Formats: sequence, structure tokens, C-alpha cells
Amino acid sequence: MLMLGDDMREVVNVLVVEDDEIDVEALKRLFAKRDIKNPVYYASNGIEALAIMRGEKLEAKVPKPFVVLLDINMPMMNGLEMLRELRADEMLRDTVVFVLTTSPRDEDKALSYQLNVAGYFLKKDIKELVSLLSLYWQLNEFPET
Amino acid sequence: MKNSPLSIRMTLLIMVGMLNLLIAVLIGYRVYKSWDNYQQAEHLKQGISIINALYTANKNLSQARASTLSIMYSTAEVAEPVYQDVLKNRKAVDAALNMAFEGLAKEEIHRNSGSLDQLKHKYDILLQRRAQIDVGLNLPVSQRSRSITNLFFEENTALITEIQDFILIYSRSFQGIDSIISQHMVFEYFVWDLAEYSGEEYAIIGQMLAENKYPTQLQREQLSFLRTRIEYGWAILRKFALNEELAEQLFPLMEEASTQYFFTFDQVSELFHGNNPVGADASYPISSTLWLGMSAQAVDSLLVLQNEILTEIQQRANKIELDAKSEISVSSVIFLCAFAISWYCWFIIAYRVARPVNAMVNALYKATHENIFEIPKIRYQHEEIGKLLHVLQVFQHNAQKMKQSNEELERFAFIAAHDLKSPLRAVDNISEWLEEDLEEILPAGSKIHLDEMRKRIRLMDKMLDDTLEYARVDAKIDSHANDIVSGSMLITEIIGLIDLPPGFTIITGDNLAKLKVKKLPLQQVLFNLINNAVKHHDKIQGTVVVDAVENTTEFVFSVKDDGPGIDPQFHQKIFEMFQTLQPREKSKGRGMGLAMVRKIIIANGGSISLESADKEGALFRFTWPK
Repeated sequence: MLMLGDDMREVVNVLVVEDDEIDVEALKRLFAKRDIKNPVYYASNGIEALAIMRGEKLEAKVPKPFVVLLDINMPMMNGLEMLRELRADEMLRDTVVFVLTTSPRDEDKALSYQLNVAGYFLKKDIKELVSLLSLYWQLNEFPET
Repeated sequence: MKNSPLSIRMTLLIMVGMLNLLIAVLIGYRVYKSWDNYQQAEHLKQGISIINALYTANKNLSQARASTLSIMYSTAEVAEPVYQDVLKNRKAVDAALNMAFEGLAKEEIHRNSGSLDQLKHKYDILLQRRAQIDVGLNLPVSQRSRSITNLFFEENTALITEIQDFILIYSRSFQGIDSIISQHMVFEYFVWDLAEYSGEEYAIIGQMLAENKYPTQLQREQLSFLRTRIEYGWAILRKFALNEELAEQLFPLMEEASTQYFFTFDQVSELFHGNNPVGADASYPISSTLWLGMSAQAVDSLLVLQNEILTEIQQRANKIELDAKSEISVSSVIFLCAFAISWYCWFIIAYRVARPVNAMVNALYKATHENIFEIPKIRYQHEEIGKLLHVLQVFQHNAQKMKQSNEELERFAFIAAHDLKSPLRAVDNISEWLEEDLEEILPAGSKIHLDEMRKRIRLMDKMLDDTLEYARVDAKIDSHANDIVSGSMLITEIIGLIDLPPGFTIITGDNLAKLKVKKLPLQQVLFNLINNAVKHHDKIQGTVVVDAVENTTEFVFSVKDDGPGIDPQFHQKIFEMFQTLQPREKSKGRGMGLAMVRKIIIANGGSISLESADKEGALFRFTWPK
């Protein structure tokens, strides 16, 4: 598959915020299948994800640019709560977020778009989403950090 | 009253209210009439005071006439004291006439304005003549102008007559108010008529006495004319008095006056009717001053009579006014009472029945149309209205509970369906990974089993979707954007959505084609019914006829096919969720279409029925409120 050289484009980091291990596994398998080599970070709820993005978690701060794949129904802090906090944060408000959820509810969709998500996808379409993303972050232009 | 049924109490209240309203209207009319009477009495009183002033003016004019005539032929010593009386009389005339003019100016006097102008004109002439008389008085007796004196006499008399005529015309406007008063007024007029003729007579005699001359031929004729008038006048007065209410009071006064008059005249009658030489110098036994005194007394006795009548007229007018006043106050009190009672009845009806009923109707409307559950605040709960309120509370409570449990059920279905999907997807994923990871070593049988497993997973996923949609029918009912489309357009769009096999025809009835309907969710219902008819058809060729009729409140749609038909024993079952007439694996559907159709129709306030015998095609008919 087509991959542009690192010298031309910055590598896009991916943060997956998902509590369901099977869904995480599914994503991992799909990334492997599509030969996607972007660095992928995993968080199991909103609090953990925010900590990673802010660099408060020991491991590392996710380097910009990065794309977030966000589940809605999660324990502790759900996706919409996290989105709200993200948009209120000076440093993180420009983050590109795709919602990936099982919820087909109109309320959830409307709320997500009010919080400026880049897309809203259902988990049953996860395969198609991953092919879309593999192209998306190759073609999409991010600002220089 | 407390324990009788509400309807009887209301009927009574309405009757009492109506009755009192009627009374109030009638009494109100009486108040209006009394007010009219009162105003007429006021008008009458004003008129009486004007007439009174005019008579006063006349009385003084008459006296001034007699006195002036005498002093014009008397020496200064004799004239001086009489002249003082003349001045007093003139003052009285001016005051009385001015008062009358002022009073008349306030009235609407279109009818009298002509004669009033004439009266004023004659008064002006008299004023000028008065000045001439005063100039003449400064001259010696022999140089005074006889013609001016004669003119004065005529003009003074003309003014008196004019005033009298005016009174006659003016008093006619009071005829409609009170017949007795107008009768009195006529009587008063006759008395004055008599007083005036007497006054004229006395004036002429006075002049002769002052001059010390026997009457001229003209004076004789005048006197004899006046005498005839006076005697005739007395005859009329006596006759008229017989019909007067006040006859008893008046007769003594009349006798007194007539005696006075004839006695006075008798004093001098000899002098005029004897065979005296015409216009020759004479020497009378009484002075003109004495004569003036005597004659004034005689006239006064007539005026006493007139005053008596005037007082009576005034009293009567006061009584009319007083009656009107008390009528107004009594009627007003009755009117207010009747009106208050009537108002109270309406108030009770409006406040204790109409308003609470209205409030409850509003509450019911809100509960049924807007899902707002409010209990209106209503007092007087011991009555039937209170019971109604109690029933309303029970209804509201039940409706609210039902709504809550419906919402809960919907939420439950949603959560169940949604949450069940996560593990299902996980199973699906894992089965797929198993197949991928074990591809090399998996026996063919296990592979088939994995495929079958995934088929079931997908079916279950769809069933969960169906359950979710079914649960949300009620919630979605109000959220549809209401595009208005024609029936033909609606069916054309549906045909576009169906994968119609060759050999199948869908016919749109003429009625339906012309209809204008709201697109959603009607399209979903018709789609499911038409799709069902095509999907479950047992032959290669088939026809589905869709039509509708419209009545005042609703549409009745029909979908008729020539397929295998449905055994009547299943007519109920087919509308239930996940019910198919064939084993699920063989069935072409999941048994959700008709369940959805029925739920949507019922949620929209309609109903659905099925006519079909086995092997004879099926006819679905449903109603759809406009």
C-alpha cells in the first residue's frame, strides 16, 4: 500500500479511547492487517486519555499531530464528558476526534457534532473506518507544531 | 339546596339570574323615565319662575301706566310722590323682564324666539318713550305733549298684551307635563286678563281725574268697551273656576276681588255716566292720587287671587319633582339589588361551574396533547365539580403512570437491545479471528459451523435492531418532518424502494392518486404492506392494488394482493413481533413488518384489519386520521 516517506510528512499518532478489550483487539488486528504502522496509544476511559494527552501519565505525552478514536460508553468518564473537557482545554482543543461507538442515538450524534468531532462512526462499520483512516492520515494536512 | 344535584341548582340559578336581569331592565327603564320626569319638573319650575317674572313685569307695567298717565296731568307737588312710585315700578319691570330674558336664554326657545324678539322690541320702544315722558315731566303741565302721553299709554298697553301673548304661547309647552298645572295656568291667565282690563280702565279714569276733565267721546267709548270686557271676563272666570280643583279656595278670593272692583268703580260711575258735557272741565270729588291708591288695591285683590294659583302651581311642580326624585332613588335601589342578585347568580355559575370545568378541560387537553400533567386549583371541592376534579386527578395519575411505564419500557428495550449488541459483536469478532488464525488447521465441518454461527449472530443483530425500532415508534411519532405529497407520488417512491420482480404490478387507485397526505410515517406503513404482499407471493406473476377513500375525519387505505392469502386463524398472530408463518430459517422475513405497521398505525390513532381466506389473496385495510 501507498506510504509517503517520513521526511515529507509527519507521522500521525493515534489515540484509541476504548474500554472494550475485544474492540481494542479488533482495532489492533485491523491496523496490522492494513499494515498501518503509525504509533498507537490506548486508554480505557476519558480520564486516562486526557492524562496521556496532557503528558501527565508517566509513559509519554502523545506527540502532535494525533487523531483520537473515541468510544462513548465508558466507565469513570464517558466519551462526551471527555470531549467537553478536551474542547475547554487551550492546548488540546484543536484535536481531531472520530467517535467510534455502538450508539445510534440521535442525541449522541448531535452532541458529538456540537463538540466538533471530525466524524461519527458505528462499530459495526469498523473495518471500513480503518481503511478510511489509513488513507485519511496520509492525505490530510495538519498544521506544523 | 346544598344537597340537590348540580344541574337543578344551576337551572335555578340561571332562572333567578334571568328573572333578576329582567327586573333590572324593567326598573332601569323606570329610572330612565323618572329621570325624564325629573328633568321635565325642573324645566317646569324654571318655566313657572319665568312666567311669574313676566306677570310681575306686567303688574308693574300696569301700575306705572296708570301712575304715569295721572302725573302727566298733575302739578309737580301732586306728581312728585307718585313719580317715586313710578320709578319703583319701572325698576321692578326692568328687573323682572331681565330675569325672564335670562331664564329664556338658557332654554331651547326656537318656537318662541319670534314672539320673544317682538317682545324685546316693544320693550325697547317703551324704554325710549319713558325717557320722553321724563323730559316732559320737567315742563309745566300745559306744555306737555298730549300725543306722547297717548303714545306711551298705547305702547305700554301693547307691551303688556305682548307679554300676555307670550305667556300664553310659552305655557303651552308645559301642557304635556301636567294637565292640572296647565289648567291652573289658563286660569291664571284669565285672572291676569281681567286685571289688565281693570288696570286700563283705572288708568283712563286716573288721567281724567288728574286733568279734572269729563271724558271725551273716545274715552267714553274706551271705558264702555273695557267695562263690557271686564264683566264678560268675570263671567268667564266664575264659570272656569267651577271646574277648577281649587274652586273652594278661589271663590272667596274671587268674591273679594269682584266686590273690590265694583265698589271702586261705583265710587266714580256717576261721574262718567251722568249727562256731563263731553270733554268739558270738571271738578271731581276725589283726587287722582286717592283714585290711584284705591284702584291699585282693587287690582291687588285680583293679584292675590293670581298669587294663590301661582303658589298652587309651584307646589304642584315641587311635588312632581319630589315624586320623580323619590321614584329615582327607590327604583335605583331596586335596580341595584336586582342587578346584584343577577350578577351574583352569573358569578356563581361562571366562577364555581364554568371556570372549574374550563380549567379541567384545559388540564385534560394538556395531559392528552402535550403530556403536561397539572391539577387545576379549584375551590368548593365538596360539590359535583369537586368529584369531577377527583376523577380528573385519578385519570391524570393513571395517565402519568402509564406514560412513565411506557417510557421506561422504551428505555428498557433500547438499553437491552443496545447493550446486548456489544457482546454479540465481540462473539462475531472472535469467531472471525478464530477462523482467520486457525485457517490452516480448521476441519471443513468446523468451518461450516463457524459460518452458521455467524449467520445466527447477524440475525440476532437484526432482531435487536428491529426491537429497537419497534420500541421507538411512539417516540418518533411527533418528530417526523411533515412533507405533504400526493398519493401517486407516495406509491411511486415506495415502488422505487422495493426490489420488484418482473411479472409484478402495483396499481394505484384513482382516489389515492389524487389525495394529499403527510409523507411520514405513512410511507413506512404502505411500504411494509406492499413489500409483504410482493415478498410472500407464491406465483411468478402478481398484482397489488393500493387505494384509499376519504371521509370527514380520516382516510381508509387498502392494500389488496392476489397472493396465497392468510388462514383466518393466524389473522391476530401475524401482527405480533417476530411472528412468521414459516420456520425462521425458511421465512423470507423476520416477522417484524406487520408488527411495526400495526404499532405505527395505532400510535397515529388509526386501526388495521385483514380480510383474507386461505389461498384467496389478502386485503389489508387501515384507517389514518387526517
